[in-house]
Amino acid sequence: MYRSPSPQECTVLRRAFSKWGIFEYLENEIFLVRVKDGTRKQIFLVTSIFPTKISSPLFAGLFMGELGKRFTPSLEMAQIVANKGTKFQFVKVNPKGESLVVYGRDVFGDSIVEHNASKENELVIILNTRNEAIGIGRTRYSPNHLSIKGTVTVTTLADLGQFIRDERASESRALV
Amino acid sequence: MISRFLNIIPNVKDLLRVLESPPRRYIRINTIKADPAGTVARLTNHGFEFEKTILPEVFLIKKESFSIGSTLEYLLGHYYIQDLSSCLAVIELDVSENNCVLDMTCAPGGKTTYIAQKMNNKGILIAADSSSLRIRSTFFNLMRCGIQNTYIYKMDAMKIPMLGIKFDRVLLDAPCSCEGVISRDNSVKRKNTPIQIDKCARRQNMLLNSATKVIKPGGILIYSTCTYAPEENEFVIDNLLNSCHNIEIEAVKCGLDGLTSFSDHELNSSLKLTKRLYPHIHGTLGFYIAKLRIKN
Repeated sequence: MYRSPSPQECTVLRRAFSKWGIFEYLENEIFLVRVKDGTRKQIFLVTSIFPTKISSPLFAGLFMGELGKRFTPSLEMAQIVANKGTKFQFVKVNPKGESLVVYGRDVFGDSIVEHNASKENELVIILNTRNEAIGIGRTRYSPNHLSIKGTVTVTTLADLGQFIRDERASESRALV
Repeated sequence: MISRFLNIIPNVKDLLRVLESPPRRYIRINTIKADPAGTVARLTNHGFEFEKTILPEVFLIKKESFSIGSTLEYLLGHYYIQDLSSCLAVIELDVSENNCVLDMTCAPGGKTTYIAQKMNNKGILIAADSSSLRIRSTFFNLMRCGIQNTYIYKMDAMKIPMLGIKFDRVLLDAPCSCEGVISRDNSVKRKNTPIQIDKCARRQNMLLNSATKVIKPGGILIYSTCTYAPEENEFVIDNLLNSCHNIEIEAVKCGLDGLTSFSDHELNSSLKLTKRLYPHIHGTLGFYIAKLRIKN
């Protein structure tokens, strides 16, 4: 069942949107919360409230991420951030790095052409050279060491190719 | 099947020849995320070639240097691989930003994403399908295309009146015997039997009746199939016109006129306003579109 976010949840969301530089862009938007498996709170961006009490939909609007103590953005939100965000942490990769990321591989220091990460173990949006969000990653090293050659310096947590891989996996599971 | 085709389809020889070659493929640019000219230019740089169609955001693929479903632009949701005929059905729906729209059998989401695009990602779009696996594909496609105005329900389209909501626009792209997609799936030639067609037609009649129960007065209902069988097309609409007198047919812009007689059956003369699309004439998959308006 979907519901509106509580005031506390709204506060965490506002902080997250502010951190990713899209607070103003999403200021007047409507969000719904879906609690999955008892604990996971999934956040969806919708255009208007549909009377969901009649019958709960399977999905509503655009999946923005998961809310725990902190908010973890989804790839769809990363794309909004890449387009509309005023300030956000990113690593930009070259075309070879781009190909690796969309196949779910981690980012090598050699592939990084630009970044503004501020610390180790930080969530970053992985951009290609056209500034399009192709993944979400977590830095393994401090900013000064992110471009070390021959070493994975950013772990890929989510990538664009996941759509296709997940879909194929679910198809093959259904066939078995 | 061929003997049936001879009674329905003009220039069947041409059709059979076209069915032996790979079908024409189209892409529809997702204007929510990308602009047509920019996307075509990017894909042209990858070695693809395109030709314009009657719709500004839909392009015919003239040269496919590798699978067009494996580009970064595809993963980014800049375009959707979709036949022109499907796009024409959505165009006939004539949606606007503040509409409440229903897509009764939405999976895998091609028409759903195009409707959302035509609504500028605003208003409310309800998409329903009964298959969990196909809904998963729909969800992937909606996320990929950045759609935020859609609610997806897992439910049998015949139970949609239970939602208790009235819609401005309803699209029923009914499950059918798929004769129009033989060029994609050759097995249709062997699978289709008169029993199968009757079974589809019965279900289509029920689905269409459900659709009429959830549409507002003045609203538009688009009924489409990807089959040539009149039993699943004009007969279904004829049955509806005979049972519901508050429904009128409006003209569909593209295609050849719908049939007004078949075998020894005479059908409602207004059925000529419905349209049929053929691979050998229109360069699309075989398709049927009927546009119905509920009288105020």
